Amino acid sequence: MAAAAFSKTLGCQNYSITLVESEQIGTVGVGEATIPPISLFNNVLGLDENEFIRETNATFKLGIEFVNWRKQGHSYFHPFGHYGVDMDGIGFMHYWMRWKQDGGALDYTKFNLETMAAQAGKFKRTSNEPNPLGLPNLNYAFHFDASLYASYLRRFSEARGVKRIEGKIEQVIQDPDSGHIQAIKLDSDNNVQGDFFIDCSGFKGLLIEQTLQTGYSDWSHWLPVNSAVAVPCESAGELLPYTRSTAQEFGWQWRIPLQHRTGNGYVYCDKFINQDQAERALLTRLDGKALAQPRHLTFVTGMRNRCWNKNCVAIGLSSGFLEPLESTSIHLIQIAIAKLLTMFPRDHFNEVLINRFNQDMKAEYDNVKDFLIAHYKITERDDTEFWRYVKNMPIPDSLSDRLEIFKTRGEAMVKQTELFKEPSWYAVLAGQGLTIENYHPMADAISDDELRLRLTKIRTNVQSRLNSMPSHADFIRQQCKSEMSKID
Amino acid sequence: MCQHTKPLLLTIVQRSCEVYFLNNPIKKVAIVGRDADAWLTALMLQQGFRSSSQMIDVELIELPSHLTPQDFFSVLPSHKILHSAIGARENLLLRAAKGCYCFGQRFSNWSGGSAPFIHAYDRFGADFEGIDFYQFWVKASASGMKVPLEEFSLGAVAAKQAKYVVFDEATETFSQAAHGYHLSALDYTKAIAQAALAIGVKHTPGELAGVKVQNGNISSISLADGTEINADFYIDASGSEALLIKNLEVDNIDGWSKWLPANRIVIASAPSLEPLPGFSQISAFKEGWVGIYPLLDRTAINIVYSSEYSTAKAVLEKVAALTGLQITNATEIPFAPGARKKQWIGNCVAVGSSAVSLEPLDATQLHLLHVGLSLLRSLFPNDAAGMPEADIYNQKMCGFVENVRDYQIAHYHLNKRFGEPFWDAVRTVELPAALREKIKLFESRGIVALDEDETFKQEDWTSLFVGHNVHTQSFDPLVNKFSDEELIIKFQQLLGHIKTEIEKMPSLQAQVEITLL
Repeated sequence: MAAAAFSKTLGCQNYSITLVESEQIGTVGVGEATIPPISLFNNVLGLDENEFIRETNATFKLGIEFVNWRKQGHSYFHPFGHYGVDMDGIGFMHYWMRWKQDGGALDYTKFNLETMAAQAGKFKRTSNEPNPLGLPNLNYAFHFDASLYASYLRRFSEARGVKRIEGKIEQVIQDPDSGHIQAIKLDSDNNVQGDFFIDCSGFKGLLIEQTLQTGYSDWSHWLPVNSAVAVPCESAGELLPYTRSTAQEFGWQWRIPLQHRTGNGYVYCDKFINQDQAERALLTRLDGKALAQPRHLTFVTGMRNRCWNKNCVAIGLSSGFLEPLESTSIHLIQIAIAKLLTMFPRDHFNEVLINRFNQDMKAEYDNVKDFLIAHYKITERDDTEFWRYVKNMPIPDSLSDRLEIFKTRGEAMVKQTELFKEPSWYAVLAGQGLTIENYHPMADAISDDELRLRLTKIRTNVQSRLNSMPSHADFIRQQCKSEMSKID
Repeated sequence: MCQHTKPLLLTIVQRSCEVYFLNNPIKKVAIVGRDADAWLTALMLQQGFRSSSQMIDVELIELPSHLTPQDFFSVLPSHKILHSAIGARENLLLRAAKGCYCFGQRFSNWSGGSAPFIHAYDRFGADFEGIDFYQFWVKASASGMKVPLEEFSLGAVAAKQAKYVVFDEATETFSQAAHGYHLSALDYTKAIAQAALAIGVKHTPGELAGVKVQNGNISSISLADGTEINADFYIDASGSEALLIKNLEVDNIDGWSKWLPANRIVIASAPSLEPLPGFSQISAFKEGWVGIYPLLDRTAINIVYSSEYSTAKAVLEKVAALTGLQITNATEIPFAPGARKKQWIGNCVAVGSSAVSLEPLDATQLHLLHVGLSLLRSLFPNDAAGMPEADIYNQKMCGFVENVRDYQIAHYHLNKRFGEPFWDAVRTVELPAALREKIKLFESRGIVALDEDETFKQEDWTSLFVGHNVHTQSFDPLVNKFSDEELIIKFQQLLGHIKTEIEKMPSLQAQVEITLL
């Protein structure tokens, strides 16, 4: 991703961009889910969406279904997009809460197109059609095979002049005074020199940690899961346009539908079960035949103390890791790339700018961290030691303040720079069962009749758009069916 | 048979039930009846008397209910007037009654192979320079325009597209689209009963044992448990048995079966329809017709037929096959279409189905009860010793009743189902004079002759006639003031206007979800 982005924006005429990669080192990716900002990234690269989908066996994603997180037998949906329409400067949910208090019977999810489409198994790209009636647009992201995405971007990058060198890093040469990285020596006896190094070496952090010893903040006391076992299986049933996360005894299991198979994984804490037990549990909970050997990995949830240290920027797993509960991994990479491009140095490294980059990245990570912790903290489950732990654990002040505010008025007071907006916080906090005392007083300003009329029009528009949509499978079949697709 | 074309000689002074003559004031009213007829009457009267200075005691002797969970009412938009008269909050009442909005009725297969038509509760088009739109449409159709008349009715288009009509400045200038309701009879009656009791109606459940008559009046009634009730004025809301008024009448029934051939109604249920349609569906078939009426929690069905030509079992099977619906809980009721010639005799007035028995066609259920109660309010007797109001009441009720009857007869008479015994006879039978005249006039000039006691207006009769393929031979020559080009432009503007407005309107489904659930 970094190579692709740099080659497209910085350009290989002005810069020499070299990517060092080893095919000997396995990659983490199974099936991945993403969030809507990925389309912005793809647009910067100038990718054709249908081609991208075909190349990566992708399907569409409208949100995440959280099963058994609040309690056994319960599920809720965290969609993309918005609930209803904000009116007169007040968020829609306040109007809905007022109407609910007055006896309204329709759930708030009925005012969100993405939730309705997910439940009905439908999908359509809507923003390229004329829309005289102002029907809501459908917000979406993708599920895809990350390794196919990588190879697709590799072809893209190399076509634009990125030089790829195969090899494993043996030694890193630093300037004795400044400590800046000057060159890396590979096992193939290649010596790659550079002014600026991007460390995408994963958990090991070969440059940022093993060389520069930047240090890591461990967050496992807030997010205790530290292992995952992943396996693809045969597709079964309807092709769902959403990710499913099912809470399990000691963690949670993901289900990511692709065009040719389904990706599954059990994310867990090894203090409670071991690898074999986790693998066995996962294999009994697939909805199709396993198509490969399960792969295991371990991680420490947390973040590098500085993502940018001297002349090295860690991007991706080398900069930190948060479990894929809200599909944020790829996003955090793309955000880092975007920020780096914004702050790209001209001819020297400015400590103030570097600190700014690091602060921004920390804010991004902290924000996601808080959001993920909320899923665990606000559970009603207490059936295993794992759930009892997360239910009772202390949480960051930033999150407890947010929850307090939310309880009083159903709003999370999201800042503009945050990744997860009001609808996301509402979906998860209300979904997890946090009770809200009351709504914004200004939502009382309009009359009962006007309120009902507006709600009716919003609902009409959601239904109207929904009725115009084909099924998820039909849409893919017509627009972007991949070669390996199992959609008939 | 009354002469409803005779204009009223007396003017009726609207009174708020204040008593002017104190000799023999009405002190007590006894309503004997059951179900909606009885409770609506009780509520209306009690509500009316509350504002009166004279204390009038209203007692409802409630006979055992005949309602089943399958029963339902399909009512006209004018029923809203009754609701406001009883102080009902519309949405709350609809919710309690599992009610649903209805913007019209769609008739299929009545007139042979021609297309179904919607009788919507709205007028057509807009009158250009004061000339009825229908005249322009006749000219345009004669010149080859193929657009059906109902496309020019905002109400009909809304009904077809299952939209809930919301007015703005633009639509108010030409449309009067209104909606009626489908209501669950049992739930509706319960809600009305609760309201009646809440404002103090005296409620005596019981069975009628005897009725004492003296000098052409009811002097007292006795119940099965021995209670005797003496009232100054009696209202018979007991249904077709007419338990009170039958004791005062002689040869008082007008039968209508030569015009309205059905004598059985089967009522049943089917699963809810989703999305909710904006109309009731009225489909004719060989042995009769079937009506489909969406409610909030189920779909109500009625099948109307004659025992001379079929059986309940047979029509049920036929209708299940025709509609594809899963029909359950069927019950059958016999009925005989007709009315009492005099509904008010002595000190007793019959209201609702004890006064008139009609087919459930055209959403006229409860309507004549409503008309009767309205008339009763303005003609309420103030002298227990003598009630000259009765003659005026009877005359006006007769007018309303016959006009509604004629509207139903028109559907049957204009059928084109040749070779089917149920349908053949009513096509050729001699019609009531007024109806005959209406059809003739419409055929020749496209005008509807209305008298003063009409429920159905110009646009309702026009909708019916045009839907049943009655052709108007000549149009108003004033229409020629406009050139063909001008007319085409006006028509296109209208159609475009309707289309734009309809698109902006909320769906019926969403309206019900937000307001009624």
